[in-house]
Amino acid sequence: MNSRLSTELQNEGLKIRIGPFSVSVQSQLKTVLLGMEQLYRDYPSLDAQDFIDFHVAIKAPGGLRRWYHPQALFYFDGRQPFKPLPYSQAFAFFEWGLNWCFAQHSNQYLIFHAAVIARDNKAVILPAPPGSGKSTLCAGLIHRGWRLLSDELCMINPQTGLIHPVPRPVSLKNQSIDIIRNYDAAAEIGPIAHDTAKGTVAHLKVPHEMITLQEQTAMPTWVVLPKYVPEAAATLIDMDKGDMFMEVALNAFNYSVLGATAYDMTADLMDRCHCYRFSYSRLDDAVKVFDQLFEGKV
Amino acid sequence: METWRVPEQVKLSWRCWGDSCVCYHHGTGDTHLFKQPYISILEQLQNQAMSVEDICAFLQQQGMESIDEEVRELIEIFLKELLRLSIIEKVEG
Repeated sequence: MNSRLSTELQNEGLKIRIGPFSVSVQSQLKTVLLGMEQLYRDYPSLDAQDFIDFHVAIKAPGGLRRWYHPQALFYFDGRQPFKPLPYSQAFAFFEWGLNWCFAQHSNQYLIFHAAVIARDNKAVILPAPPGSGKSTLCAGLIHRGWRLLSDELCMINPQTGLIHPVPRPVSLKNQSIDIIRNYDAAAEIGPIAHDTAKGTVAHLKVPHEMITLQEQTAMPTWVVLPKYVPEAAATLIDMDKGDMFMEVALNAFNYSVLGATAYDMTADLMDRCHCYRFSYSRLDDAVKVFDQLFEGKV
Repeated sequence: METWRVPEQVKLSWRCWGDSCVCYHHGTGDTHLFKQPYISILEQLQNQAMSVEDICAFLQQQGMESIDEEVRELIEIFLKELLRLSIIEKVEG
């Protein structure tokens, strides 16, 4: 184990930059140490005097709960916004908790619940409800030439209309874990948590080169609503922009907070982007369609 | 006869693509999706108070051929929904 990373995690906190945010993470839990070592070792570290946007910690409770049905607690700025989860889910808890921190405390951006990938800084936004195959698709595409901006948060700057990357590990569930493991030998997957509310969950490491590009914004160019359909051919069809507007707005974290600004930004997004529905069953077929999309052959 | 209109103090912003329009209600902060012919009806209600009969006549002018009881019911449902969303008001008298 990386001794510096582990020491900082267990003491004053590991301070790293993730996209536009500075984060301090503290934990002494073994599964968190392992997950951080596997999935976060490439993020730029910050100096002790740097300002930190988000202070988070994953801790074990005191008393009997340390030993009997052990649990993990998530702290944000010293407070516990969530009920405890089983110890075995501690690393996933950190991932979910940090998503919540970013999504709830970053109203300088319009934030949609969506994956974002890009090539040549032209971004595809993939908004979709859970179970749509968004993360699996995203994980496959970033191992076939697309850059990950985010698996969960599409953060758009109101001043520029550009998407700011916040490249964090891609959340994989159930069968998707093995699908991605078998899809690319380079895919590095962190601790596996069983029996969570979402089933079995694991996170895929962001390739190093995508972390080095985490300050490089991208222009929204396509909005694609994906859906995994067993045995389906990979098919991209035009989607009505009014319908897509509502789909995207419903998946926004802070649309109502930003009000008219969010409305204007979402409408501008629809003006600027091509909108599609996409159904697929095989990743290789999906990659071909996305390559055609990028090449303007769709 | 009951008539309906968009009150002067209600500020709506529109953005349209083909036959779809999204409408932002600045007072409630809600966004709504409308499709034709409802968009045209709402545009008319922004300009003047209209009864169900007025709306039927307007739709006929727009080329809708058969205005039957079912269409009237759909218009009434649409007006009730706009009222519920605080987009229109009922004008008495």
